[in-house]
Amino acid sequence: MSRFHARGGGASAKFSLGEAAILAGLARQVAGVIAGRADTAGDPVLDRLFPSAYPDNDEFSSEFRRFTEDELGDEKVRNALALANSLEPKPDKVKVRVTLDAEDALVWLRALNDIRLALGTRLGLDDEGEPTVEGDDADFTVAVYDWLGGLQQSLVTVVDA
Amino acid sequence: MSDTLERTELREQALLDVPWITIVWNDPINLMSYVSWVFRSYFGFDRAMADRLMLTVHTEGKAVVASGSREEMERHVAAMHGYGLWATLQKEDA
Repeated sequence: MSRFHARGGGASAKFSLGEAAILAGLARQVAGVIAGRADTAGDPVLDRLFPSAYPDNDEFSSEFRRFTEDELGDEKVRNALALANSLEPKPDKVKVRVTLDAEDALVWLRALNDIRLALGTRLGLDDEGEPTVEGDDADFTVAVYDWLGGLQQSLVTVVDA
Repeated sequence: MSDTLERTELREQALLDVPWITIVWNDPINLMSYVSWVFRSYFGFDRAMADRLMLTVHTEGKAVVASGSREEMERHVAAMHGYGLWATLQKEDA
């Protein structure tokens, strides 16, 4: 599975076409869920991506949302789409190489984290990180979730060195 | 009358002086290394401090990562949400 490595002051990873398609697809899905959030209120994924700042005070909480949520949502959509776009395959290549400078890495880390938050929430992870949702779809999601955890870990390691 | 007013003002001042705190909560999804990196890159903590706070979040379920004015804590909470961390704010004594 793909991992990031340090390369010329930045980070670089090679993805198979399948991996690139899966990750870009997930990023676009997350961007879509966030962009369409007005129509899907109550979705646990959105609750996790936009947590209440004042869990014990509805009035302060809605005021906080009013002042911060649009910008936060726009940023998350931009990050996810930037990640998806950098996974665009080149003609005649069987791998997709992604090379990130420090600023791109920040975008990727946040986007990867949002995708993992979305997948982990859909899997209903318990406090131990074990999925509470079962079935073939869940098995595939768990595999992708684990892969993205390793991928994010490798990118943290590079930017943190 | 002036006495009462003064006392009221003193009480209001005392309320305003209570600092607000930013709390980061544990969740099973965020990587420990990522949380520690966020603490260092956003708050400018050194590695030892960031790791200690991250471990407090992990083992105690939450950690206070900043204290100060309400406006300042709201900025921190919004920034944490930008990184995908689960953060809230409240008065210190709440």
